[in-house]
Amino acid sequence: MPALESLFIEKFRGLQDLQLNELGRINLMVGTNNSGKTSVLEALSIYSDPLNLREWWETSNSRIQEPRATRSSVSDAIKWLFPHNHLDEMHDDSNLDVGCISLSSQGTFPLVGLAASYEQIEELRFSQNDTKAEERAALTSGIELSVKIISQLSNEKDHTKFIANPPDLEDTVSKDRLKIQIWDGERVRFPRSSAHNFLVETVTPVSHRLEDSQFRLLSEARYQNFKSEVIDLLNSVDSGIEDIEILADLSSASALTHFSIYIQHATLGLAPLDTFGDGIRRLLHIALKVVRVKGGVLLIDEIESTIHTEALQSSYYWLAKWCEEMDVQLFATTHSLEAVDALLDVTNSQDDLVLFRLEPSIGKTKVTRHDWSRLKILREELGQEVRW
Amino acid sequence: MVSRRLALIGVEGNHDQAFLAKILRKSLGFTAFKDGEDDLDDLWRKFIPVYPPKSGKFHVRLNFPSILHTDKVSVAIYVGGGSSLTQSLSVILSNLDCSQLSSFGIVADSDKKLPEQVAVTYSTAFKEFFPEFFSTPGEVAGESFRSGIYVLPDNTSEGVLETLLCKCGEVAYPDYMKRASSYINSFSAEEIKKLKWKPYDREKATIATVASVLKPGKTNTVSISDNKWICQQTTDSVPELFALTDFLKKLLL
Repeated sequence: MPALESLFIEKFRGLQDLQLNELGRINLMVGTNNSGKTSVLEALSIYSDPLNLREWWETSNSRIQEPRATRSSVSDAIKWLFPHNHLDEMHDDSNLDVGCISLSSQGTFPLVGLAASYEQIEELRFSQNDTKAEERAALTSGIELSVKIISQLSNEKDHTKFIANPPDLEDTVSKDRLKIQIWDGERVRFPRSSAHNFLVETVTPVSHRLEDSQFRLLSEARYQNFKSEVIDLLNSVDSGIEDIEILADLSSASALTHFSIYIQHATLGLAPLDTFGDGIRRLLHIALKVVRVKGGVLLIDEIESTIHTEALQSSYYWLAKWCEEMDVQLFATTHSLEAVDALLDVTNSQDDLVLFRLEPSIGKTKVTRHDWSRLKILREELGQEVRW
Repeated sequence: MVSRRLALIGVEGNHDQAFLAKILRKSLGFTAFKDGEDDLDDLWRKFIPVYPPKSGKFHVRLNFPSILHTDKVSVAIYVGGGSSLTQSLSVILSNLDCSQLSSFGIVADSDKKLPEQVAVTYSTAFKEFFPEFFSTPGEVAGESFRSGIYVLPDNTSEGVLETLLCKCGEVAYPDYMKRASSYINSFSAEEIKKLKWKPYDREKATIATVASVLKPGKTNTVSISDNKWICQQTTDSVPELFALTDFLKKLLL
């Protein structure tokens, strides 16, 4: 049984009343630009650890590839996870400066519901000017974020009540709720609650370039005796790859603190990972994430990214096989018909692969669901377009 | 681009497709969409096959419907391939925004079944997409959304498209039809058994013979499209053709 059998996203970013039913082992999101594919992954990412403010912050920044210094404030970034309808705001003053997120699910996932809201807050703060010994007032703004979850064990099943009546709590985090004020220009505290942290990992089109996380992931894979399987996957792109290791950089004065990932290659010898193309690095990243998320949910944005079309089938064969072996439920987005076809080729049953096409429409995100059998006929017999 | 009402008609074979297209052009004022024109309605773009199929059938030509239009209506005639029409058209419909269609119809052979049975089979198959699909053979129902099924040859008898074509041929090409029938009738029962003819293959062979005389080296579809199987004279003289034309008129115009 998949961790998530269905997911209902009532409100999240631009998504509205999106119902994803009969989820499969591999769930592929397609649609035109701005249809909400990545938003589904972001919603799931937050759903995995909703009482962790850092998860909100990182998810809100996951699309930004610029250095941290240029990023927007925490409060601003988090606000944009909430739905914004400019037209509504123009006609209804009550919608200004507040927002709600609502998600619910069925399956063995520890949560069955999540409701969150924010409210724009302002405070007049007084500071003492040292030289003139006079008090100055400045208006500081921020948001108050309230999150409530409903777990499988909870008796409360109607999380929508929370949206209408947010709990009146002090800044706090408890086993089923988080309420926190985030002020612009202030260092943000990230209170930690792992009470409902479920195994969900995200692969973005660029996350494979963050080598810090690769060390940890590779070490985890090694400890789980999974390295040879990882090399199998890399061989789908380059058959010369024989081994992969973390080695100290001996040319550096501080050799004991500088490490790099190296690949033992049949023709290149021992070569640093970063001298290989993005395809190898991203596949390595995906493989290591599969190990990390055993029994959980893996989110891959742009599953075709950096992988040559000729290598899609063999890489996806590996991915489908190990998602099943590791009991991992996969949610991925794609713009590529070759990716759809390759996934069809490497899966073979009704529950293995489900394609969801998202289409924004007025007041609702429409969804078209194609299970594996239907998708097979559409693509392989009728050659039909399924992405829009 | 002009915004037109959109209609989809499912048929079982290429001959049916050519036959309906000719009725629409000849009797109902439609114009055929030609390759290269740039005003293909958006919904029909979804039918354009993308990439060759990966099933290993490398020589199979992927299907694209015949598109015809007036200023106000655009109709796609989709061939589903005999008995697989329900399966392939259902899958196609699942990939479309059916709410964009203002008309949906089926034109199918009765063969050896009762027309009502044929109609029920199709209406059941498409109820998922069109709950209000009207299943009385030969009739069209609905206002903002119209639907109907026409069971060849005449919504009451057993038969196929060629049953109707033979009647048209007897009006348009009586001499050729007589000579073709004489030739086909010269085959003995033993020969026909050896050739493994199925029901209605006699009619099909007769039409093919005449088509081959009218358009040597061409297919039946070319003859149906270019010759006078459907013309004012046949529409006036063959009640079944008149009824089918009237059905299409009610469904589309």
